[in-house]
Amino acid sequence: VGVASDDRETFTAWASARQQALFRTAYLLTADRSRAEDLVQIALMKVAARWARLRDGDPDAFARTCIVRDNISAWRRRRREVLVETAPDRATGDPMTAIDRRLALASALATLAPRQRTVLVLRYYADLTEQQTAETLGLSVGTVKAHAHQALHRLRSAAPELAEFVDRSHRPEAST
Amino acid sequence: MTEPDVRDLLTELADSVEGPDLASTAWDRSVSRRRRRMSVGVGAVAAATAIAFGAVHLRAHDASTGGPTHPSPTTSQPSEPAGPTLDGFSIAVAPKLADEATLPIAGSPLPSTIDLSAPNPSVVDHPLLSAVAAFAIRKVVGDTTRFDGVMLVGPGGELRHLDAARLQPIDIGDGNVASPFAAGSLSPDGTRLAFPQPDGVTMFTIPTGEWTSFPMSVTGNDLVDLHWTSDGMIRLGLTTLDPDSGRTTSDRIGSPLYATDLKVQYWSGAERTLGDLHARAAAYLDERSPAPGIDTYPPAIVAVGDGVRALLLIPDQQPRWKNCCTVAGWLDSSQVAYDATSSQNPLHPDQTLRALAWNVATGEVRLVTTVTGSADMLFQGSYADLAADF
Repeated sequence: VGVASDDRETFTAWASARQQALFRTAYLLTADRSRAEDLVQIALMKVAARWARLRDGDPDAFARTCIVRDNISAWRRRRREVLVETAPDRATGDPMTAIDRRLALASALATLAPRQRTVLVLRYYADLTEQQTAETLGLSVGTVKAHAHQALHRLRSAAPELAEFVDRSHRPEAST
Repeated sequence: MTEPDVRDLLTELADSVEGPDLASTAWDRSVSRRRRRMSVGVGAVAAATAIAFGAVHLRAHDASTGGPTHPSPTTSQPSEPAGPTLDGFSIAVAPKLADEATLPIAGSPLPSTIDLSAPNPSVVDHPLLSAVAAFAIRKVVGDTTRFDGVMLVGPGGELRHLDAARLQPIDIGDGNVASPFAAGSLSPDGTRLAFPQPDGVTMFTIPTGEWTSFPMSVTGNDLVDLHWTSDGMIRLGLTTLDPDSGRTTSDRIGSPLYATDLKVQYWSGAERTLGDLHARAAAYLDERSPAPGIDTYPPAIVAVGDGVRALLLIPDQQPRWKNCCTVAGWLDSSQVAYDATSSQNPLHPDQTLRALAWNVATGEVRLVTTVTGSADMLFQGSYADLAADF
């Protein structure tokens, strides 16, 4: 009973600390809060079932892999889902607000193929290496590199206004 | 746009969302799932077959065979709405009582668990600006029950007790009495509680702690039920006196506001609306259920309006008690929340009341909140507008 109780406590502590990061990764993958919740909930349950083996290993990686692969499986079941080909226009002239940026990015992400989107999120949000991304997806490193390249190219062309924003935000401020 | 730029943009988008607390229940769900999987045995083949037809059919199949259910999170995936219909209503089947605890969580203004047994401060001494839910509490005393006030649930999950000793029990006819509380007692904006009383309506204003009485003259009839409408009015239900026999019967706010050709023996609880959408509980359908494995004339949640004509049939009527299950409200334009047990005796066999959310488009059912109390407590819920921004 003591071991089980300890497992429960250590698992819950880990899950409490990591659930928001996992949820946000799932949200970036799906753009859908409900689906993100489902993915995280299932991933946490899978980690809990294997906690005795995972607790001293890398439960984050296991949970992330569950989320990524379950999302791809779900996408395969929903082949009828339509990709948005072009991002909606935004009125020009005004500086982009944070909401504008988020909307523009969300629209641009929606133009990516699922694997491109997944690679982008794992590489640049979850900060995985190409090797780790390849292991998570069950792909070769070369394929991950190709998906990342295509994803960045498509993102830039789908939302050129984002490039304008980041150019401005990186411009050094004039000293006074 | 460089790779660091993309990283910053993704982080900004991700930081704009926050997920619910899933960590605290994941362990128990996992343990429950493993136990059930171990008991499935050869029945897994049948369950797997059923999954292919969607969660709705899985539940109906389980109920019909009495076989083990499969609480896999795949039940959270939306099922195809195609399936049996009744008078033009699409039909979904709610989870069996034993499967409710392991349903996926639905986002709502309510905390995931509410413990009514713990001592909590008075709302008069520690005011709330509003409440998202109120639970009337009855204490079991010998062979009867005694009204023991109301517990209010604030927007942050905080609990406050309202001493309602000033209220009198309600005569509902034929010598029966009920608590002066209704499923529609809490106003949609969560700021007022209306109580039916023999001589009118008594109101408690939550942020100020003030009581107000609205006397009524209803000779020969008693006020037995009420609920707030979405435009801030209160509909009243009275007893009906038969002068020949001298009997009085309770009129629990009669026909629904919306028109359907669905045959219902009688409606239960308040109708809840969101824009053009309406939902109400049918204590019993007056038409034979086309779904296998549940009662012939089951309780149901009915949703109509804005292109929606959907029915949720509820299995396990007997342990849920009569007049099961009142609608708590719309969580959004697709999800109806309802109490999964009766308002008259809302205790599950495991001493809990669960509010569930039914997606009228997909048939998916999720867990909104689990309410627990001490063994000598019965409670009945009333909810503010759950789609509002608290």
